[in-house]
Amino acid sequence: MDARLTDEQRLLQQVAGEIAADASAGWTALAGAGFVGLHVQAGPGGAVAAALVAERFAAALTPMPYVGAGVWTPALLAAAGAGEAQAAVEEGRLRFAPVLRPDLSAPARDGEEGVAFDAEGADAGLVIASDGRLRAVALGEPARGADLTRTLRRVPADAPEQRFPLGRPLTARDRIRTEAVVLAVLAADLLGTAQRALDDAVAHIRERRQFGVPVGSFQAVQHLASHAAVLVEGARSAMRHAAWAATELPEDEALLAARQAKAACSTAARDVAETAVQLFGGIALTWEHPTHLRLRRILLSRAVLGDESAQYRAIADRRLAPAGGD
Amino acid sequence: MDFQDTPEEAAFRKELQEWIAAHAPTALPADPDERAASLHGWHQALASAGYVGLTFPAEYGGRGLPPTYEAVLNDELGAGGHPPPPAIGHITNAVRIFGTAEQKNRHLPVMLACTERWCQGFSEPEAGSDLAAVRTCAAREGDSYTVDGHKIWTSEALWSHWCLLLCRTEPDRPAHRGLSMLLVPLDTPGVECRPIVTASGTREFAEVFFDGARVPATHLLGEPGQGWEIAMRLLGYERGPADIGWIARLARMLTLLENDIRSGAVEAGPSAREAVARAWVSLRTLQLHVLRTLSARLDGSLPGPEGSIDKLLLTETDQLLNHVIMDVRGAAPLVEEDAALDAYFWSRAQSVFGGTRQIQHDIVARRVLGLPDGRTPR
Repeated sequence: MDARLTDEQRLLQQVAGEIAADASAGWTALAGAGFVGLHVQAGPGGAVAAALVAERFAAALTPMPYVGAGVWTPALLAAAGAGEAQAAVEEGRLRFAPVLRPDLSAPARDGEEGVAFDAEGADAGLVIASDGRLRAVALGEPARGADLTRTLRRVPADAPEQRFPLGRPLTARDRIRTEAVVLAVLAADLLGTAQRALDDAVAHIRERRQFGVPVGSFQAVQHLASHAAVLVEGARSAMRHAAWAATELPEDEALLAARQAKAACSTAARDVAETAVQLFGGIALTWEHPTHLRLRRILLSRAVLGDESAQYRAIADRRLAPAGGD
Repeated sequence: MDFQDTPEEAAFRKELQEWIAAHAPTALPADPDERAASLHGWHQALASAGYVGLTFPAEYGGRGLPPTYEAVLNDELGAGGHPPPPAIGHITNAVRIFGTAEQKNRHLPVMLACTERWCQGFSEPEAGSDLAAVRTCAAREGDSYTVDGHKIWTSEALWSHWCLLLCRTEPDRPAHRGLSMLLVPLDTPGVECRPIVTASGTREFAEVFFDGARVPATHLLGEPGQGWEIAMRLLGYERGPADIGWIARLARMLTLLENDIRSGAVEAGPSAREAVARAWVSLRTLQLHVLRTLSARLDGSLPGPEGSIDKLLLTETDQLLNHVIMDVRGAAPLVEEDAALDAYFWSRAQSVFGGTRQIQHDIVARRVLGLPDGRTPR
């Protein structure tokens, strides 16, 4: 066992950070760098690569639909063996958004109303039909979502189907594997957002002076920052393991690790961002300042595929099953 | 990054699992003194099977394995509901790093065999969080030191043979610089231990009184005036939960609770089940974080101030887990006091010993986040 990042993984973080910092970089640049469907292309450990990219993009509040259109739907297409669509998606010529139930807790049921997540620039939404087949559906009106860095679009129950060849039906194992990858990457999105909120706040309290001294020299203020740093580091450890497990462990174990990390990162990220608001003071809740944008992003990533309470329930069902359970 | 066992780790894990299946207890005696004795026997059994000092150099009785093996040991013991390994990583490392060849050869093999037991004499009535205010003094007279003073909260002093004593040898130097570390046999005339009975009835803590106790100068660890540096290095290890077996201890408590819920011995409704899952998420985060910390040591680097993050994660997990256990067990430990109440009281001590939660936050804020030190100078 070695929980350290490899040199290659560090390099990937750096490249992702550079793309995220480049305001002119669009989806084509992202696809050109091989980041769309990265975890599929990268093979073993691919979900770690996708998670490290998602973390950097989230930290920069990149308004690109990386989790939904760069990881989630490419994973579904790969599992379905939809080679043609997958190739077009990886080249950036075609973009799908995953369609969720209106409460965001799970993929939408076919034929019911839904919400497309990370739908910026998407050509269609992807729904998993009851027979496991992927169906492309037309997207409806944009919703007035809380997260200003990502787009949600309504999908009516009678949304017209769009004709794409989308491969064979997904098996239950395909769906579990995909869910594990997506949960781990959402955990990374939460972590990246929270980390930057904390970094900004710590830089602020080093400089901001009151009573003639930096406010960061007061113990009450220091302990808030320390509390947040502890949450961030614990969440990072959980996230990295889940991203590794997503492709390296059997489906059930991968999903359990992913739920663990999603729960840990959901709890930590909201607390950290709220602590950052407190450390900045009122400015963080105004349009003058990016911290509320981070909090908005965290609130959405928490809810997608279930917040910590939903994860706890699923974990309990698995771990506390009578005799013979793990 | 690879969380899979290497072939060597997998072989070690398999051998360990087989040994555990044949030798490890799950239940421990309810009586605190009997429990302490039983744990000591368990530690000696672990030691004679080669599971104490895994990462220690072989020349001192260790196995010379990479740091990640400590995680394997803790995980296997905890997951099976077995008692933790002995909490000696911090003292053995202090002796290994700062001791002379004679001191290392004399002490480390018997420490690792768990045949000679040690306690750590740091805190005093007037030196708790402000450890540099230690007053116990050791005056050099010829080839020995004469020790006078009063230590408190000394863990396991009653059962120990030796004390690692932080004391003032250079009274003219400023607070931190005037301290040294002495290795003191507890049967030295002039040393007296008095138990402190905790709320849960254990006699694990003691006060230790020194009244003209003479200690040979060869028992000095490191240089005169190096005591603070040694203490800080030691605390770096003590704050790493894998170094002191705490992860295994917490994992054991959760395993036993989960077993009782699965078998139906303890009833748990939906909110209790959610709480148990939350405790598991917290424990698992701690385990994975400690594995990350241990991995960072694979290149030979030493524990730094980041160890306080591990200690804080440990504290939060311990206290959350014990709330959950007490809540799920309901009236049982209140009607008939049992190990759950004992563990609950210990969890409250977790944010006090080894540096309080507030001291750990001070360390993270100043030495990890680099915030300015605003304390008023004394």
